[in-house]
Amino acid sequence: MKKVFFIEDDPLIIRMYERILRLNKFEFMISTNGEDGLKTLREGKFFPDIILLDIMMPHMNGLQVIEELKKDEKLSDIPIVVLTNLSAGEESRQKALDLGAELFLIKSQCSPQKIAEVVGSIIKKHKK
Amino acid sequence: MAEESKKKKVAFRSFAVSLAIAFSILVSVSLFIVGGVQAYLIFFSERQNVIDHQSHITEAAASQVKDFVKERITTLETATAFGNIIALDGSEQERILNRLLGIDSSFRQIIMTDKEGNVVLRASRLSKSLSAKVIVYNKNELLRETEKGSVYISPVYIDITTNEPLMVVGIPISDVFGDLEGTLIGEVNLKFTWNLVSSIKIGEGGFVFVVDRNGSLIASKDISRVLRGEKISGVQEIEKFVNNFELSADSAEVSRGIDGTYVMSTQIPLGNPDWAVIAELPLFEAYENVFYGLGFSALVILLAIAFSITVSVFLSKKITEPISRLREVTKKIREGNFDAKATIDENNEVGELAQDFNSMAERLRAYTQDLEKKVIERTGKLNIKIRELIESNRKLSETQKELKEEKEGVERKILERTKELREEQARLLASINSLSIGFILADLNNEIVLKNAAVSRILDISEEDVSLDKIAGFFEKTPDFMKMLGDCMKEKKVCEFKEVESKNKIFRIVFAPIAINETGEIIGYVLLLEDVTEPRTFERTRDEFFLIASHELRTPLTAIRGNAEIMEQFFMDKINEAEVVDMVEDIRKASVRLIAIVNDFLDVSRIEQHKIKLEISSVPINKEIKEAVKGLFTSAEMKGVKLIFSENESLGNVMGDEDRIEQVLVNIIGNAINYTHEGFVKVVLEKEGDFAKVSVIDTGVGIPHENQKYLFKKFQQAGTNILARDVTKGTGLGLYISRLLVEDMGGEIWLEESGEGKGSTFSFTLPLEKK
Repeated sequence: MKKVFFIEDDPLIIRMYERILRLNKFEFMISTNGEDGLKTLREGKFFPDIILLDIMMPHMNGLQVIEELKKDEKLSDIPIVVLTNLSAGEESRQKALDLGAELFLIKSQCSPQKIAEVVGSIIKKHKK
Repeated sequence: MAEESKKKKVAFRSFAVSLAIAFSILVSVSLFIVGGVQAYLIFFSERQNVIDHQSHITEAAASQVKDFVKERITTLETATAFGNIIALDGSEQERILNRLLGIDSSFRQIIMTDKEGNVVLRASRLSKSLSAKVIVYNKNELLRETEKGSVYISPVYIDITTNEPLMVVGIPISDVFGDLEGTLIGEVNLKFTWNLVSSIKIGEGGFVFVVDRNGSLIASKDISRVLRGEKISGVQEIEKFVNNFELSADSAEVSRGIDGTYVMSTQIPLGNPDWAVIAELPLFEAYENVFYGLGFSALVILLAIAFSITVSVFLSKKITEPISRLREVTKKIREGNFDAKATIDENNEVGELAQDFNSMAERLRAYTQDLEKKVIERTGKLNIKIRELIESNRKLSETQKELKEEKEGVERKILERTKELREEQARLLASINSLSIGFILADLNNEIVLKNAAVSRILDISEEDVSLDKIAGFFEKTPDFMKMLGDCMKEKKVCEFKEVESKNKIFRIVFAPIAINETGEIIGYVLLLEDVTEPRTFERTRDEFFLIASHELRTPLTAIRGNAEIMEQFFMDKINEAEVVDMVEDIRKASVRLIAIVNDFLDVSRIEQHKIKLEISSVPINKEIKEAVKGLFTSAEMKGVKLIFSENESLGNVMGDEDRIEQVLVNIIGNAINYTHEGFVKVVLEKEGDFAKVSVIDTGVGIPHENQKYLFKKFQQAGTNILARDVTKGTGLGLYISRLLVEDMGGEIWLEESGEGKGSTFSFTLPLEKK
C-alpha cells in the first residue's frame, strides 16, 4: 500500500484530502503542524512513500520543514510535494524547488483527484 | 609683572667700592690661610711638648711608687737573708719581727707562717684582738707564689676602721736547700705613698694619682677620696687600665678627668704591683702656650686686614678717579653742555679714552649745530606747506559735504529698495517655510543659500547642522547621492528619486538645477526632500494585507471546490435527485469562478507592483499554443464552437515566461470562446519582424466601438454603466493582466479589429529568440 504523510494545519483542507486519499486507497498519516510532522517522521513511527506539505503554517513553515527533512539522512530521499494556496511565481515556489521539493502545486488550481493521481505517479516513479 | 621684575635695574654700586671689596677679600683670605696653617703647626708642636713633659713626670712618679713597694720587700728580705728563721726559737723570731716593725713604719703587721700557711707568729702595732681580723690575703695565692720563690703582693684593701689602703706583701722563707719552710708576710700601709704622690706637681694645676686594677684609688692629692675607698668610673684612662688595654706613656689623651673637667692625661702601668700611675693636666693649662700663640697670630692677622682694607680703598680710588671724572663729563654732555672737557693727564688707557672722548664730544657738537640749522630751515618750509594744506583741507571738506549729501540720497534709495527686497524675501521665505516639503537652495559650491525649517524636521537634525555634506551622509545607503546630483546638474534636468531609504524612513528627493534665463548658465540648484514613509508604508501594508487576504480566501474556496469535485467524481451514484446533482455542479462552478476572480485580483496587484518575477526562457511558441488550444478544446466543443489553430512550426522560439504565455493564451482564446455562440475561434501564428505574432479571430458578438477604448484597462467591462456588467464573464481583469504580462515580456497586445456582430480579432506579439 502506498503511504502518504500529510502536513497541513487547516482542518477543512485536511478533511478533504483525507477523503480523496482514502477513496484512492492510500495509507496515510496526518500532522497538523511542522514540528509534530518532523517528530513523527524522525521517530520512524511512519515511513511514507511521499510527503505532502503545506507552506503557510504557524510556528514552523513548510520551507523550514523541507530544510529539516533534507538534512536528515533517513528522510532526505522521500519525495516532497508542496501543496499551497500561495501563488505560483512567488519566491516561495522557487525556494521550495531549490530546497529539494519535487513539485509545487496550488491547491485551488488542482482538483483533489488530480492531486491523488499526481501523488500516485510520483510514488511510482520513485519506486522504480 | 614677572617681566618687569626681571628688568629691574641692578642697584648702582661704584666701581671703586667693588674694587676695594675685591682687594680686601683677596688679602684677608690669604692672611687667613697663612694664619690657619701657622696656628695648626703651633698647636701640634706645643702639644707634643706638653705630652713629653707630662710623660716624663708620670714616669718619675711611677718609679717612685714602684720603689716604695720594692723597699718594703727588700726590708722583709733582710730578715730572711740569714736563713731559715722558722728554725729559730720563738723569742728570736719575735725579736726579728718586732725589729722589722721598728725599721719600717709603713709595716702595720708582720706575720710568719709555716709552709702550710698557718700563722706561726705575729708582730703588730695594733692590739692583738683587732689585728687578727684585719689582715687580708689569699693563702693559696701566697703559697703558690712563695713556693716558686717569688714575692706575693695582695690586692689593695681598705681598713674598715681607719679607711686607709692596705696591702700584703709575702716572701718565702727557705732552708739551705732552697726548700720552702714558711712565709714572711708584711701588711703595708699605703698611706705612706700619699705624701709621695701629692708632692708631685705638673705645671700649675696638674697632679698624679695611683689606682689598682679594680679602679680603686690608692693615692691621690685628695686624701678624702682615698679614705672613702672610692672606685673611680667614667674616667677614660682608668677604664682603659681596668679593662687591660695596651698602654704606653707616650700617648696622651684629652678626656674627662677624675675631677670631671677636661684634662690631658697620661698613664703608666707599674706591672708589679699591678697598679697604674695616672697624670692629669687641666686642658687649658696644657694648651696655654698654644692659646697665647693663636691669640698673637689672630691679632697680627686683624691688623694686617685693617691695613690692607685701607690700602685697597686708597688704590681703588686712585684707579677709578679718572673714570669718575669721565662720567661727570659724560653727564654734562648728555645734558647738552658740549663745552665740557675731560681733563685727564695720564698717559695710559684712561688718558687715551679721555682724549678720544673729547674729540667725540667735539664732533657731536658740530653735528648738533648743523642739525639745528637744518631744523630751522625745514621748519620754515614746513610752515608754508602747512598753510597750503589748511587751504586744501578746507576745499576738501566742502567737497565732502557735497558728497555726503549725494550719498545720503543714494542711501535713502538703497534703503527703500532693500526694504522692498526684504519684504519680497520675507514673502518668499514665508511661503518656503510654510512648505511641508524640505526646501534647500544651494549654490554651485554646495553652500546652502536658503532652506526651510522642514529640512531639519524631516532629517531630524538640528537647524545649524543642515549642510549638503550632512544630507549626503544621511543617505549613506545611497553612496552616489552627490554624484547623482552632479549628473543631473550636467544634464540640466530635474531628477526625482521616488524612494530613498535611510534610517528606517523613506524619502522622495527632487533635484532641480537653477539656470539663468538669458544664458542657460547653471548657478545653483534646488533640493526638495519629502518624507514619504507613511504613504509608502501604507502601500506595503496594503500589499501584505492583499496577499494574506487572497490566501485566506482561497483556502475555503479550495475546500468548496475540492469537495464538490469529489462528490461529482465519487458520490453521484448515491444522489438520486437530479436537482441535487445540478446543485453540486453549480457549487463547483461558482467556486472555480471565485477562485479565478481572487487569482486575478492577486495577479493584478502583484504585476502592477512588479512583484512577479518573470522567468524568461526560450519557449517553443507553436507547441505552447497547441497545448493551450488542447486544454480549451472541450469547453469550445461544448458550446458548439470550432477551435482551430493553424500551426507554424518553422517560427521557432520566443523569449518569455512559459507559464505567463500560457496564461495570456488561455485568457484571450478563452474570452473568444466565451463571447462566441456559433462559428469558430481561430488562432494564427506568424512572424512579424523580430516578433512572433499571435492572432485570435472569432465570429462572436464583437465589441461596440464606444467600448473599445476600455479594453485592456482595469475592469474594462465596467464601460459606462456598472449595472451593464456581464457578470458571467469574470472580473474583467483578464485583458488588463494579459497586457501587463505581454508588455513585461517585451511584446504588445491590441485589438486588431472588431465591430458589433462582426466578431473580433485580438493580437499580441512576443520577441523571437535571437539566433
